[in-house]
Amino acid sequence: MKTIYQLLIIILLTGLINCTKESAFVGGNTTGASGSTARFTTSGNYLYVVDNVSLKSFDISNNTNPVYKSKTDIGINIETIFPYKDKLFIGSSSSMYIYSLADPARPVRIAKAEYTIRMACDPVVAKDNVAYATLRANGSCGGGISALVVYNITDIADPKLETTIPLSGPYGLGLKDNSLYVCEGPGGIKVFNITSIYNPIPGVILTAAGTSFYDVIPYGNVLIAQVNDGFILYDLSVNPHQPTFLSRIQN
Amino acid sequence: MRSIISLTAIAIIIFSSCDYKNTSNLPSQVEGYSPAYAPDATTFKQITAEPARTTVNGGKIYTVGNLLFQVEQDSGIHIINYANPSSPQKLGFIRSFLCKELSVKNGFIYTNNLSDLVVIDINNPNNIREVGRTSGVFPDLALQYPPKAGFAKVYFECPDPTKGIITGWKKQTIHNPKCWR
Repeated sequence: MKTIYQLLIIILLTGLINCTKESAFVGGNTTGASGSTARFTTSGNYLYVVDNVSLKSFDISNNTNPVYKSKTDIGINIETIFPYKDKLFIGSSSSMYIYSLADPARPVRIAKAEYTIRMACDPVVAKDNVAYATLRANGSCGGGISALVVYNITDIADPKLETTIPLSGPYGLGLKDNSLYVCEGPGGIKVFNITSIYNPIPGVILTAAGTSFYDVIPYGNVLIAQVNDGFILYDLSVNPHQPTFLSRIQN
Repeated sequence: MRSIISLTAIAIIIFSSCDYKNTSNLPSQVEGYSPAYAPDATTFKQITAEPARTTVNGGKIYTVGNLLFQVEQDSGIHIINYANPSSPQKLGFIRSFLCKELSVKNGFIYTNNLSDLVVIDINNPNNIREVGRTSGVFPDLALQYPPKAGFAKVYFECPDPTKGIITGWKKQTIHNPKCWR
């Protein structure tokens, strides 16, 4: 009898330990974050997907049974989608679009800011009253110049270009609090101080020999940088303006 | 009259740039692409958890909790654990043919498998499995067309759906192609 009790206790404990492990594995309900070049994103109980021309919405309130809700035509050469609060920021080769999720099943366009630089690759990130986009004008993305553009979105329906900062050839970007991280391929990650939100001040540049930086996710106290042969992780806990090297993950 | 002619000219220009458009000026022999078919899609629609593998063509990234996910272009998703960020470890790989994008919510990965949206339960690392599928919602993520870089015209043999799903495109000399993009 005793052994049966012991067995039961062991089984129960094992079950408990397994449960703890499981929730720790994916962080339970912790909010995740994607790189800035994503075409899939979740917001609330919805999954949003952009293809080259349109935005699709899926109701995922039942996690395992996505229900296709709507398709919205946006424009041409759509590349990226970034959720912020009840809005979606969508990057195309020529414009930044802002969609309202007041009705999450049917996003509605509230703004389109056309870049003066055409034919660029351009992820966008946003917070509060500001949106940052990188425009890359080399390679397959056409002519023109490369830049970081800063939009004032205080009036969400009428974004105003505040600043244009020339860059050499930017890829993805990410922001956390008062820091903006911009990948410049072989040029490293340029860290900008955005305490003055419309006037990013360039600071340190993170580089590594023979390494190209393509996208970045600042997440908690870790800056995850996607590089040509894997990832480099940096610590942001001491000073987010001056990330320090933690580790490198080789392919 | 002149406006009709210009309109016609514009229409010709617009329509002649469409995919799948037959024109009389197609080459009889050209370097192009021909599709490889799989008559049975079953194995290409299997979502399986596999051991960690080397990243060959890393794609989109996503993080939640202590996990970092990276798409392996057209093959699946790498899972990396960085609970100790000074010593991150690859945990495993989820195979999903033609995978290109992902997002994660409540321990479920949303990604594509061919042109389908699939839901993969990763709450239990020892039992990673497909738990949902919405078919055919991303036709542009399947291999309907061969790769195209830049503005140069790419000729290809027109896909024949009766031969099965397309699993890849082979670059080779093709004859009398009827399709281009």
